[in-house]
Amino acid sequence: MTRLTLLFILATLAAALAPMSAPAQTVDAANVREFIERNAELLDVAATLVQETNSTKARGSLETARTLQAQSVALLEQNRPGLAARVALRTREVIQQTIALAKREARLEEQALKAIERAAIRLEQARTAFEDAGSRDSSARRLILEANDNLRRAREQLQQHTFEVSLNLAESSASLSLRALRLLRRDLVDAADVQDEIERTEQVLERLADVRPALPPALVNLAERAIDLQAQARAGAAGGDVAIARERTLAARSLALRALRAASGGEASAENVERAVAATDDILERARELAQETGDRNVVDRMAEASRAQETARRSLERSEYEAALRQTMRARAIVRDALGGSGGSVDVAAVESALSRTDKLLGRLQNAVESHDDAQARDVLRRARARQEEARHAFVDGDPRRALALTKVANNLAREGLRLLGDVAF
Amino acid sequence: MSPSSRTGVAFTLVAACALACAANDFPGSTVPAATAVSDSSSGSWATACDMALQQLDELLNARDSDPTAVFADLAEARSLRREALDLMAASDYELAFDLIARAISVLEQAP
Repeated sequence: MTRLTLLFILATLAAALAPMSAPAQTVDAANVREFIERNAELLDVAATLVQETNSTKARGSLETARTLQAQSVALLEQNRPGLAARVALRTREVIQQTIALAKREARLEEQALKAIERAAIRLEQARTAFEDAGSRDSSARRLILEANDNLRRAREQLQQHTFEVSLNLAESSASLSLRALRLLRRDLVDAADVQDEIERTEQVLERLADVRPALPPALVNLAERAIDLQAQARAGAAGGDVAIARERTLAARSLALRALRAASGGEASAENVERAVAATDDILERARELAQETGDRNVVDRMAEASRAQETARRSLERSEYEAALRQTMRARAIVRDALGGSGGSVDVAAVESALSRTDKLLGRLQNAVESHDDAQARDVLRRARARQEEARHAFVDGDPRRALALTKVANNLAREGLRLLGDVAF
Repeated sequence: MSPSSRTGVAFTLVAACALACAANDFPGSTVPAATAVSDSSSGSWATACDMALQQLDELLNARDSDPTAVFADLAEARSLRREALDLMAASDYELAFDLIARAISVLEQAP
């Protein structure tokens, strides 16, 4: 790659990542009034949408927007157009967020209602199968009880207008009932499975319907083919042809997802979120080890909380809800960070000195082992560990204890690796 | 283009992305430094870390199945990766990125 190409990439990326626009320096009161009036119109739109969903989150966001709107009006009346403009800009942002939130919550409410309906049917099937079989299967019984409990909580959350939680609980309930059914009546499982697949496709098609007015013709064609295939899947299921139903609904979902991804800016966003979720998996795995080392019950519990957030992220990813998936996977990381003491604070210099000293001791031990074994691989590992430790010492002297700690831990890990290689039983 | 130079180009892109994100902290930036550091920059560093980590894992997988791979290269890259994950768990993405970049560099410079 030439230097020119690299500079071009840097410039392009810097431009793409730069803030959208700087606020205007001079403020015209008439323009501000017009902007605030437009905010008032948009607030009405937002209020109508929020009224339809009755979501707690959306109501809160609407209230914030109204308060900001009142502030911007008051500031303009006080002849402070500059400040009024800033508040009005923020108001516009909050209104747009409220509209997006209300739409999302409305969709979630509908999905939660359907999921509860499905979970109730599935639970009934599992109960009937349990009774018919005169079963004493304790695993099935436990699954059914848990499914019942989750369904009850899903209904409670729906009444409290926390739709996402309700949806997750209902889906979990249905999944538990299905597991119970698998234990009890294998013949019922295929039909239940395919019905679940059809419902999952239906949810994707609903999201596609939301963005359909903005779709280009090619994607509209894709959406129509998906709808047609889903209709064939439903007909197949009604006629008892499980194989056809499954094949058609999976094909319909695949087409619908392609259209949705293209509509939301292409595969890149999906790819980014998938990558973020995968990285969180690695972080969680490592964090669990660290949590076990602390032996602190509270930290271990927080790891479980982080795992739940990550599971929610994974489910959102499966539903192609990329923003929600990214939010949840980053929430999982935030929980891990808080549980493990976080970062951004100062590093304990004494602890770094102590870590450096421990690594020195370990390097001395490896040095002795290498001399007695004359092993080329171990010698190479020792050389690299020394180089990292040297860098760590420099960073410490340069007043960067965080970097020093990280590098001495790398050197320490390497030294342990070298000792393991030489059969040191302590490692 | 050889696999090595492909990963080199990809890594340059990751680094360029991170540099461009960090550019928001520079004097003369239109974003106040505090805002950039607290939100957008750390988010961008997190994304850069995710991308670099994926690239590192691909390289590690490739080297793992390579009988000529040098033991110390793999050990050093894994050690750097492990520490980078600790830093990511603490949301210290900038330093984590630096360690992942070093690990990639170790593997790319390997014979």
